[in-house]
Amino acid sequence: MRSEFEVNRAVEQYSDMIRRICLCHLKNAADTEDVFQTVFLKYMLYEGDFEDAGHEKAWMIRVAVNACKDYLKSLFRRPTVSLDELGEAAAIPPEQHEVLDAVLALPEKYRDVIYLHYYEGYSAAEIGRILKKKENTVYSLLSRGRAMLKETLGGDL
Amino acid sequence: MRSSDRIHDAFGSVKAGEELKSLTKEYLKTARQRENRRRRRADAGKPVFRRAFAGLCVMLVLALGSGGYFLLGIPVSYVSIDVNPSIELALNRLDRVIAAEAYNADGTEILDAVSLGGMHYTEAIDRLVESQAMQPYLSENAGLIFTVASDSGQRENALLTGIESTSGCREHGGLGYGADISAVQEAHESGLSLGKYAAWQILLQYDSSITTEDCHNMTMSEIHGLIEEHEHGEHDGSSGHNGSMEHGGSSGYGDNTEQGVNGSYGGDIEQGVDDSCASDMKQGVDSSYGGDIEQSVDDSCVSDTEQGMDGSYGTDTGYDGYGEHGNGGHGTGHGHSHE
Repeated sequence: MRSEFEVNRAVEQYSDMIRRICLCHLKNAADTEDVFQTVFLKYMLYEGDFEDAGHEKAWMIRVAVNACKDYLKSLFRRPTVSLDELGEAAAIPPEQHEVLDAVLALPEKYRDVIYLHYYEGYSAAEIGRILKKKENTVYSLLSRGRAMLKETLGGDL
Repeated sequence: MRSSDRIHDAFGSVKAGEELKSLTKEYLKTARQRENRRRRRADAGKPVFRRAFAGLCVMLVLALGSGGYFLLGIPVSYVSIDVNPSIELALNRLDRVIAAEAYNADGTEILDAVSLGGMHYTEAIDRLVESQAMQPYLSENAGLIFTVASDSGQRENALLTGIESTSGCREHGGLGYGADISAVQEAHESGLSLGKYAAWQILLQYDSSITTEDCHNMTMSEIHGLIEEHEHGEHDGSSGHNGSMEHGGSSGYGDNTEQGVNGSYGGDIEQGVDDSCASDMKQGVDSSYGGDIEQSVDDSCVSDTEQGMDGSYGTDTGYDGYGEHGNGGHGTGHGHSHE
């Protein structure tokens, strides 16, 4: 079992990222809270070693994505998400709000890929490894997702 | 602004609130305590206690098993039932039959018809003796002999008493004998039931030429008949040797006596002499072993001889010897009689 210090460090370090992954999948704050608990509990109990920070981060992403999917599977949640429902709309500036709404309007399978590529800066190959998808699949998800966003948000995307 | 930056910034504006983080940390704290308790229980319960418990269970099973086997599976007594059919029951500590074995064809036939496993020995004996298969062998003068050997004398006596109280034994005039437990294995090695083996051992005292083979082919009443004849031979020794002359006489009767059989032999003779030589002998024995006997025996037996068939029998020589040292002298006496 990982020490309390180590776990708290991980919470501070990865909460934002996991919060965003949750955003891509989940509908409300209570669900997000559940997934947070699941992910960090898994981290606390995980006995394996991480080769480096990148490895740890990739592990976190995979666990978080899986936790979200499991959560949805188990509760038959509606997979569509809106910021209003998240109750955090007020905290987000209008400009970002528009883009996020557009991302969240994409089918679910695009959202992780868009997030991991545009925000976390992973390459298609890396995303493929983390999410256990073929690199080409990631490529096509990325390009199709980008095309859809362009349609929603305008030409300069 | 480039599209990628717009998306980046949009995601960047999403943050986990402090409340969410502290809720998560709070949750993890309790989860840690729960996990620690669970692990302590598991640690305490797993290798040490659980293994000890498992060990205890194994030992208990073994103890019960071996205890049960000790109590139920090991034969501690043997009851041999011999008429002509030779059957031997092995009894456990609870006096129940754990094995019934036949030592000749007749016995096999009976055991095929009667099942005795697990029965109390009295029940087994009753069932055996009263079985249809046994009836042909239980004629009027068929000797029904029970021979008992056990690891303790107490148990042996209890078994003999128990056997004598069975209706099977009473109705057919059965006789119970004790035997040494060590004889059981020797008996089995020579292919005889304990009863026949014990009888053979007695017979052997009188006739060293008798083999276990011979006994195997004889019925129990035949064997006991021979023993009785020999014993009676001793009894009648002084009065006349008719009996032994007729039966076992020819073989090595004289030889046996020369071997000097055993201590009890003297006793037999006393009785034998009592029978025939009547009061004279008794007086003789009572008073002193020396000259008196010589005289008294001389007196009575000389007269016997006079009436008897055998002239040489009554010679002083033989009985002089007897007077001096029981067995050897007696042997000489017998030698005479045979000649």
